[in-house]
Amino acid sequence: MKQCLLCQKRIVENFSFKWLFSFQTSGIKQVCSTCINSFDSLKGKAVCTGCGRPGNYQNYCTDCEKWVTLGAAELLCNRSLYCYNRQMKEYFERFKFSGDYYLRLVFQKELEAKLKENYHKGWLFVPIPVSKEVFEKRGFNQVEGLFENICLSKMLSVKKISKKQQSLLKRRERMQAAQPFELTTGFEKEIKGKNILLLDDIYTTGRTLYHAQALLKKAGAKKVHSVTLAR
Amino acid sequence: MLFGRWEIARKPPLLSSKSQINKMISKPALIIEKSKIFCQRCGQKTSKKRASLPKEKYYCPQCLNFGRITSLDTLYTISEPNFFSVPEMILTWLGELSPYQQKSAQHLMKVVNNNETFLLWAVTGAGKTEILFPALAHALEQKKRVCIASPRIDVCNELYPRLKAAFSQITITLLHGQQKQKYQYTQLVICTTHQLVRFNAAFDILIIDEVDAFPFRNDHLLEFAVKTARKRKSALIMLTATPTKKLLQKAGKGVFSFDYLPLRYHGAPLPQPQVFCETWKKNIQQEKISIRLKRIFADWEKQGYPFLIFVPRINLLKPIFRIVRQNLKEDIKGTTVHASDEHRIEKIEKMRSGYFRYLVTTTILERGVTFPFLNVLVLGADDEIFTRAVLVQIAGRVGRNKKRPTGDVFFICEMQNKEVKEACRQIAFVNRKGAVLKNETMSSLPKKNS
Repeated sequence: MKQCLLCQKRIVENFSFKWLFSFQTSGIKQVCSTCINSFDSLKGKAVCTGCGRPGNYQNYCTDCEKWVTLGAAELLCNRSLYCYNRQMKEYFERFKFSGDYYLRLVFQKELEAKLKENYHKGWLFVPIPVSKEVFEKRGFNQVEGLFENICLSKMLSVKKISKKQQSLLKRRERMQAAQPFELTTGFEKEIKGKNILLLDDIYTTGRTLYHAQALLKKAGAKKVHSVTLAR
Repeated sequence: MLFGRWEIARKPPLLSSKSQINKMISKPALIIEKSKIFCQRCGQKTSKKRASLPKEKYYCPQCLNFGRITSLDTLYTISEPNFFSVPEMILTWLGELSPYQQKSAQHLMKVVNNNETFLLWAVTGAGKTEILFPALAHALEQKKRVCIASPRIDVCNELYPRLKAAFSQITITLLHGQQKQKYQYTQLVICTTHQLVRFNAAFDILIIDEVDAFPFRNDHLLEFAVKTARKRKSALIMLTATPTKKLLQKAGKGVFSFDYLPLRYHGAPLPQPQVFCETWKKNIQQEKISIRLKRIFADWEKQGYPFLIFVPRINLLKPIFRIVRQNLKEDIKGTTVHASDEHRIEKIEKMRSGYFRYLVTTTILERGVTFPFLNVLVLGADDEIFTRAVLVQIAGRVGRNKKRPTGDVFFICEMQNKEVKEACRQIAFVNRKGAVLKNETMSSLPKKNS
């Protein structure tokens, strides 16, 4: 018997003859269909090409236009899997703040598939780091958990004093925050001329990701794009 | 704060006096075994795969709701010193116990003094809470620490004001997951059984109300919590109106002592349900109603008492409500209620005040809610949601008032199933026991007088 990770109900799977003779693994899901359907998937929906926000936009949404005027060298072309709705909020509360690290498995496979599909070759995967204090408190970096089975280059680290937890700040404070990241020494050579894909859990204002982008561009990266779980 | 309670921290907590520091006990939060980890707080084992954090660290997913504990944490506690000052007047309750209640109350007193484990099967409306009062007062006087726990939050919320009134000189802490009051060190604690996880050898007396309402999930955890929250030498009192088979089996084997309180406080027997079989589902679909039901509603309309109609599913509420309304006079008001109804409390309040004459409801009103002079009808009593315990509890809503100790209980079903039969059998059984007790007390009372 397999339980749904989120609602603890039993997952019922219909095994077909086709599956039986396909010699595939059962692919038993971690989450029941009611739970997964209550997340708002962005698959196949029209999104802003700049930040992955759902909706029909001619070019970019107003937020992305602002980033251009603010002097971002290039938009992130962010893509997200899900919309940040109530269910997603609850998920992050349990995963990040209650600290149920096992819940990383809920979206792991989907994120992996996304990277394999769209970012197949020539990309360096760089996770957004958490500060040392947060890591000690939580015991994990949620981004690295979500992308556990992917070869990550952890070239970013949080400067000693600066980065406050973004979720504790209001939008305005977030936008004004200073560069929180620095490059880990030893990675400078690797970056030059490379395409880099930033990985994060949530894209809210984009501040964090644009900070990271600016830093990597300065170090000589060719393209910096991003993928997040929620938008 | 640490008395009889776990504090989870990475560094030892700062304490004011040296004697306290010396008394402090500490142990690692998690014990890491070969393929599993053992949580010292909730007593559960988890596979390493489920519990792992990066860098060979672990956390316990089973008691996550009480704040996560990881392999970096340590549990700290100071063993319960029973450091209480007892007021002069303990019991400020002015009511009086009926002779039947008195008998049970005396039994409880003995249980408390001898630190026994005890199961009391008291019928719905027996006045279980009041029976506790003498024993509680006695225990509090001896500076014993007491906890009343229940698996259900609403039961805790209902107990709190009643105990506060009965023991007005004593501060009581109410603890459950949906409430923000901070923990205070008090002699009397009311909490959900889950909250017991946080305590360690704290209570001299632990009372569990509605013990049969234990959720199936996490039941090992709760069992462990009940075991460890009590002191080694302590009394455990379990109260229930609908004991499960397992409990009765254990009592039969002599694992703990056991007693009935088969009579309500007013001495009348429980109303025996009347079961009728008919194709009610089909009738509802055709917007019809059987002659039998029509007669029942006409009867109730004449009587002028409030009534509840229980249905098994939320989507049945509306159609049944419509049909019932058609069959009643227009000035009789009613409504529908279910568990996730926003106006649930408001509607129940209106029912209590007499604005509504009837409610069509799902099983949310099965426990704890008391309306006087009530009649009850269960449509689809053979649905799987109506287990034996639920049916007995529903029947127990009726006849709770001294002025009208009887009332109608109707179970309408397509076919009688095991649960319906067992519920009726259990009520009949308790009533037989009650009749015996009544005879005994009746014959013993005049002797005392002469």
